[in-house]
Amino acid sequence: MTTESKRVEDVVKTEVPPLALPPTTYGPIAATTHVEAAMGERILDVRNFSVDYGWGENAVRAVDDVDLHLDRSKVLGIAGESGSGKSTLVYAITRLLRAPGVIKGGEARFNLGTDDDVEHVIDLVNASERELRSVRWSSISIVLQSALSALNPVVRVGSQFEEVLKAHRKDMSKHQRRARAKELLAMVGLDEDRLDRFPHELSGGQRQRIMIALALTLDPQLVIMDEPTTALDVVTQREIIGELFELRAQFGFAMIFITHDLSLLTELADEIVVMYAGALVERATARELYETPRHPYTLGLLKSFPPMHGERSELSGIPGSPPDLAHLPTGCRFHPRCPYAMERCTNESPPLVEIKGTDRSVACWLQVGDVGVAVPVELSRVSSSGNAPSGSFKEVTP
Amino acid sequence: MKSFRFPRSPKVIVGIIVLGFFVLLMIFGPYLAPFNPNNTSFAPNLTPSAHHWFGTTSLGQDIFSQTLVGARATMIVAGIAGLVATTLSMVIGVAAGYLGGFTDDGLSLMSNVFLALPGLPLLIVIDSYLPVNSRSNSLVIGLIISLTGWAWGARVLRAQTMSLRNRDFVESSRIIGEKRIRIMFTEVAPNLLPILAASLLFTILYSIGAYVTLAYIGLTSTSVWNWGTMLFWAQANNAPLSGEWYWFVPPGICIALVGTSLALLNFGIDEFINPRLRAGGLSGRQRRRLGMPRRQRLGLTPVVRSVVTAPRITTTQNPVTS
Amino acid sequence: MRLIGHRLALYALTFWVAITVNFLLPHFMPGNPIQTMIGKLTGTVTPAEIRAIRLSFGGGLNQSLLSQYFTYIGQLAHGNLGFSLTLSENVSTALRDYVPWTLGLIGVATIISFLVGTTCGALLGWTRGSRLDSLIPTATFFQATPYFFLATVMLLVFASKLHWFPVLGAYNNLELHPGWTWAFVLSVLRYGQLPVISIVLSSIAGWMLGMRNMMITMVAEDFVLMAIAMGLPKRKVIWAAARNAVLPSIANLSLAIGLVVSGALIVELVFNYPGVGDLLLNAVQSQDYPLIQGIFLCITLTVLAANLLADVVYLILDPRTRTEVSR
Repeated sequence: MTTESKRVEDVVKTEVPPLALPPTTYGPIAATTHVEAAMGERILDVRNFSVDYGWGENAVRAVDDVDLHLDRSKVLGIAGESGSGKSTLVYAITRLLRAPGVIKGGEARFNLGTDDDVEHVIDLVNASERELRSVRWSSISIVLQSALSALNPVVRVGSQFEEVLKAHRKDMSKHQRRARAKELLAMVGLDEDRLDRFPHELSGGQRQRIMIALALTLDPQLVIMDEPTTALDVVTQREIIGELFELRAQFGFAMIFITHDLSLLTELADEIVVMYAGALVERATARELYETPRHPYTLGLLKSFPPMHGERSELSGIPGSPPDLAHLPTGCRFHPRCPYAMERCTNESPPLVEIKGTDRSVACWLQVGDVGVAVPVELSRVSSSGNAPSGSFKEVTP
Repeated sequence: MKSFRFPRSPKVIVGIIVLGFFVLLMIFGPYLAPFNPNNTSFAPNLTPSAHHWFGTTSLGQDIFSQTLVGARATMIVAGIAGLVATTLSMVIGVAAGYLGGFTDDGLSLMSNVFLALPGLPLLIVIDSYLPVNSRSNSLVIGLIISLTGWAWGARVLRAQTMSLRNRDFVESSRIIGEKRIRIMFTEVAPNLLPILAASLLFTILYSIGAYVTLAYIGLTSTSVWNWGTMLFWAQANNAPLSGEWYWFVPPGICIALVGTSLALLNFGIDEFINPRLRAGGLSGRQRRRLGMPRRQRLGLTPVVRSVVTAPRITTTQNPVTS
Repeated sequence: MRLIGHRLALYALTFWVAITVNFLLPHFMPGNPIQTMIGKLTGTVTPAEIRAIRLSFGGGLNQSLLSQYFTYIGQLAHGNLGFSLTLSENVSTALRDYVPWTLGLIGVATIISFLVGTTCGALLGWTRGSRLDSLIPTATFFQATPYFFLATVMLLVFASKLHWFPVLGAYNNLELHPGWTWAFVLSVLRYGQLPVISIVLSSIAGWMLGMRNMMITMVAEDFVLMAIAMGLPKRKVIWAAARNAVLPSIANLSLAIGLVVSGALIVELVFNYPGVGDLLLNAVQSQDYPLIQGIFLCITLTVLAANLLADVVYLILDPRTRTEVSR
């Protein structure tokens, strides 16, 4: 990423004094019950997480037994098509999922930090409303996709900051709150007078910047970005993402970045997980994913978006469309669309298997050897003229 | 057009049943009445008994018969007024919304003026000038009432037409070259049906109220029996203060029931138009049984741990280690 | 601000239509009401009074319709609403005694109904599916009953039978006289309870339902989820949603005011409240046309003023209307 937003740097370094925000305290959350192991550097630990939409017979599994892990100040990217369950997963973890979503199983623990050798961890799934409220925004904040609908249309932008600060930092005076809002706006390159405007008076890019500034108000440890730039034009998109990562470099928050644009993630994220039809199909570091994707779906996604840099390659899509979650295919969910599908894939669903010697996992029969050793199989990215009629991948035999 | 599913909401079903009952009453009422409502030969001020189900008036008339006979005039006038008003509002609203330009300006102005004019006072003024013999004419009264009740529907229909006008299927008809009037009737109108139905129900509701109120003041002919006239006589003979509740309660309750059934039907249509309003989901008790909190609360996604089921695959190799 | 200008022009136009209707009706209705009325009166009233009555309709009949029209408007401009026969005084003078009572009754009732109705509606929309939902059919039933019927029933039950409230009138007119005394004010409040309650019950369902439906729509919006995600206390979230949900109710105020005013007028009849409604009824029954016309204009003016007020309030509450002039 290039540092196009030089002005942000300048402003932040020279004008504004260090954060006007007094140090955080942990509020009503006492040290939680003892956990099996300290979380240490890990701030988010999600295991066996499942989410349904609906109840009883009509329930549809939107997220199936997913694990996620995120370390302090790292960026986790979650990629997948619409309906893959990526947003559902993240909203459910923070208990913000709307009806008819129901969490069916799993746990999600968030590490608030260590205070005098006592580690404060909140069990998000079992937390009470009060506990959640104290953690929300002060430790975990969200940037939604469409800023126009995410901001209250009848109040001025400034009052949004006011409300948040008033709710969480009762020790701050009105003057201090205003100063903090001004500082935040400066961080994203906006002038103070934007605070007195209404959301509909601002441009799309300005609104999204306000959203980012709002998300950073309480200096959270984790910022969740739900397709933050999809609604913007490409130029603004790049600007904002650039500014975002500047801010991250400066303040050190961790990020979960949800998007369908995998190529974006390969540049920005530290680790990427790919979801398909509610299940996690591959997990790897960004570089590994980009260079050697293991799951055919991942490969398909990579080939669907033009890469930002590097050589040009032929664009292709993935034939077919995502399955109806109420009627999943037998065996592997992806097999009807997979050019590498084997007989086994139709009957048995592959488990998520860690590739020995690496820190990556993949759920694909192609990658699982017979003798209990996962053999990484190279999926070729080079398109050649001798392709199968579907014109997507090149056949590779393990 | 969306397919029509028969509404399952209990509100709507109750509404249909009650309204149906009163429609039957409207048709068959006069035949079912045991006595002539004008017959003053009975003992006055009788409380309800087996002989006179609703008792008698101060003049010795049977209230039950009056109620049955009164159903017809009340509902017919309301029906006429509602139909005329809805037709007016459809013509004006759709024309304004679809044709745009000066037509729209003029028609909208007219609707806004009529909307701002207070309905009942205007009705009273017009009605008080009517020669007495016109007042017994249901049609005339119905027409006058509809004059004051069309404006709201016109505004709503105009808004809906305007949003429909820009939709693709209308554009494609226009491109093919269909005449505007034809487009209005064949493409736009069917999509307006739910709103039209709601508008009709609302105007009928309004018309009943207006008609009954006019009758109560004495502006309709007293020779035609309707529920409002009964209330007029009850008030004139000081029934409330004399405790003769059986005189004014039956017609009042009838009006209320018809009105409520119309309102319930309106709910059904509202829910059809705006799916978010549909009850959908489980009742509190069902939720409790499933292990969820009684009410869905925003920001507190419920957790219901399912029974552990057997894993889908039998073989695992190198399961994920944490 | 342009918007207010538009609305003002609209209301001015509406008032003009009302005036014109007022003028044209007696001249064009079959049966020639003016002649009939004057014919009936000759001999029983002074010539000066006859002239005054003629003026209520626009002057002598030997002038052209147009000049009569202008005379009529000229009269109105001077505040002369006509001459009432039954009261033997100018309509304007008569109204001055009656209007405050009506305004007070309707004003108080509407404000209470609006506030309680929208608050209940907001809560109903928020806590959807709770036991509170049973309020809806009840309120709907009350809304479907004609105002005066509900008033009559309440009069019978609460005043006549149970003696909880005084029966008729606006104040204890046997003992007290109008004036700014403590006793008088208390008496007014006491007598006013039942009529106000009656009007509120009849009109509250509309506010409640409208607000509830809008609230349900609002709760599904992103900004409400944002408010929760930001960890704001629940009452602030409800307020944010309600603040947006109330807008259509205010926009529809014109319709609501029309209905409430109509209903309240009749309620006055039931309770013998010395307001404009009472006056109107008497005028209708004695065919005192100038009085009817005068009252009509007075009511129209008040309703239009209330509409204008509602428009201003809407403009204040919804900032989106200020930058774009919506059609």
